[in-house]
Amino acid sequence: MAQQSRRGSQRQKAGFWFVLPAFLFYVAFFAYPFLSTVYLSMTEWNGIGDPKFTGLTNYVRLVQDGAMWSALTNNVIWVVLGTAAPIFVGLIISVMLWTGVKGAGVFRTIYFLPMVLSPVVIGVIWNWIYNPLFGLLNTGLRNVGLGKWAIGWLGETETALYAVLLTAIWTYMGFCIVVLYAGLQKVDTELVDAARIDGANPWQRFKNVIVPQIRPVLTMVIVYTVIGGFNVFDVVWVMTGGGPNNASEVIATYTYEVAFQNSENGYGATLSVVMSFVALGAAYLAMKFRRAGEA
Amino acid sequence: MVEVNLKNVKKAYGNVEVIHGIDLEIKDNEFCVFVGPSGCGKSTLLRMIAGLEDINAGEIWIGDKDVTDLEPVDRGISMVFQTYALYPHMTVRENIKFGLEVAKVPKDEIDRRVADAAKNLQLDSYLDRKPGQLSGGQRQRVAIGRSIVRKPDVFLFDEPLSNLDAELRVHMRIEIARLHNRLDSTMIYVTHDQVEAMTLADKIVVLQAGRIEQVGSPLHLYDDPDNQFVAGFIGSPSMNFLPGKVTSVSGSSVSVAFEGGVDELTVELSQNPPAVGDTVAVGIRPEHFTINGTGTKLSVRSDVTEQMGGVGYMHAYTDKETHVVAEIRGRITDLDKDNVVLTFDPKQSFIFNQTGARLR
Repeated sequence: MAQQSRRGSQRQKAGFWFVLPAFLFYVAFFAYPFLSTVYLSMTEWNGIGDPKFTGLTNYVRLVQDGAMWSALTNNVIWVVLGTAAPIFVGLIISVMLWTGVKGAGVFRTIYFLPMVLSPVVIGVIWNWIYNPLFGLLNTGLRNVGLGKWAIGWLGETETALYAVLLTAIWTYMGFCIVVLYAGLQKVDTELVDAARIDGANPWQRFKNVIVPQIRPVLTMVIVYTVIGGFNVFDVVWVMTGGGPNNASEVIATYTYEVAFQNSENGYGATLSVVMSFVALGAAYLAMKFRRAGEA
Repeated sequence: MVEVNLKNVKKAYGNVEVIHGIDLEIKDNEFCVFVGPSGCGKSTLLRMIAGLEDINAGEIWIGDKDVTDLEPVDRGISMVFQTYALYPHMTVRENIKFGLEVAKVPKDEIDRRVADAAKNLQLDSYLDRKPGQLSGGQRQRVAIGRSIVRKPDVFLFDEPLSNLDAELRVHMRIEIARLHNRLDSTMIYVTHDQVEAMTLADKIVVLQAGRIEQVGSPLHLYDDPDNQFVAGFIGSPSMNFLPGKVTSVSGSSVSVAFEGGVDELTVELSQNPPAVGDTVAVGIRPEHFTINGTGTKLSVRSDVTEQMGGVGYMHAYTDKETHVVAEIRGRITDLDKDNVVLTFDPKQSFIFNQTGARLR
């Protein structure tokens, strides 16, 4: 027994050495910057000189900041639509691919393609598509006689956010399809057969038999898109920069402007900290919601 | 009256035909077992009857209805799967009633049927558990419960006992036999286990490579196999086959010199006698051998004997190393292992020609 436990403690020590590099990396590149940000969020600092500690002043300002609330509202719209739409459409397409459409492999590659493109490239491509004069969208609308619908999609305050969001949905969808498709490979087809024998129609089979079996993957995708929705920056920045007139402003672009264009690093840090907790909270709720559904 | 009729049913995957035109009639209330080795097409055939697989040619009739193009739910069938196929996220109760809810059966009727099934299958105390919390046998009973409550005309079973341990398999086999007696309905059962086939079936359909080799009652197939495949497949341990050559034919009396034979075997083959010089196989069931008895003699070298108590199985080899199994009643003692003489009644032997067809 003594020998056993000595061997056990040796193994534990070996484990410690294996974990150490990753732990140091985590401390240096996550824990330290995060804690620094929390500290900075309670200071006034223009990036030069020493930060001045101001306690919770920045947090009070944040609560009273209309621009922040408007950006947060856009984030919430982004999270709701940007999660629901790609997952809903992605689920349907992945199930179709899974049921054995001819050339499923080719379709899979096509659908996944947006994921391998950089968000900047995607932003540029969609900027072309949305171009008011020569863009594919407006040209198409004019060609089918819907010229009056051909507007400056990214230049109108009513449409800018949704136009950018559509781009993001297109990108997320590829990810959703591939991950859900991988999840579907584990679905027990005998259960689907059993449901057919039980008389379940395709929708009932999908809802009652297939979806419950891919719940873990679904949860993962939802958490990913929710967190992604709160953190979104690149595609908005490339396409509209948060405009016009802050219509497509999201917290990340707002934070960037505050911290690096207005040089209010302290308040920028406050926005980051709050955003992190909002995203964490939303992801936690999403997971809890899925678990409640499983129980 | 619910008969099941298959008329020249064919199935192909791409260019590969796996079911080659099957005609079969299963009578009302009959317990029909499809049996055959892995890959013979028995499960595919069952899934075709269920409507889970499309067919490429032919017709499937259930009762007086052509169901060839109907969805599974419209065929009046239910099915029990090899892996039980219970919905893991639903409780036992929800699993059993799922089909009824889908069919919009009134709630009180659903409750009544679920309660009946649970009582009959001793599932009362498990109704609120999930399948993951049940043993293999309990899960199988839930699967059976799910198929009973739908009150189908025809029950389909796809190797339902193959995931159970040996003891439970025997127990569930008896439960299924009881179920058949109680429900008085047509059942079609797929298995690769010929013991299940022999004990459960009214009618056995032996399949090989997508074709029916023979159809008949268990004892008919045992006593009167049409070919070497059926003879070898039905019966446990399997029939022994010894290569031989026809030495003389006189009227219906045929003499065969066979491997290990001390003297020639003479049998009456009136229907399709072979010619002198033909290569044949002599089939002898292990249970038809005795040691040093009367009849035709076979000289072998004994290798291993499995003693089961009341009966023993002697594994032996002829001088040309053909494996022979002999079932010996009582104890085997004082045996000169290198010189064992097994004897059998020529009337209990079977002769097959080179294509495997039985010569009678």
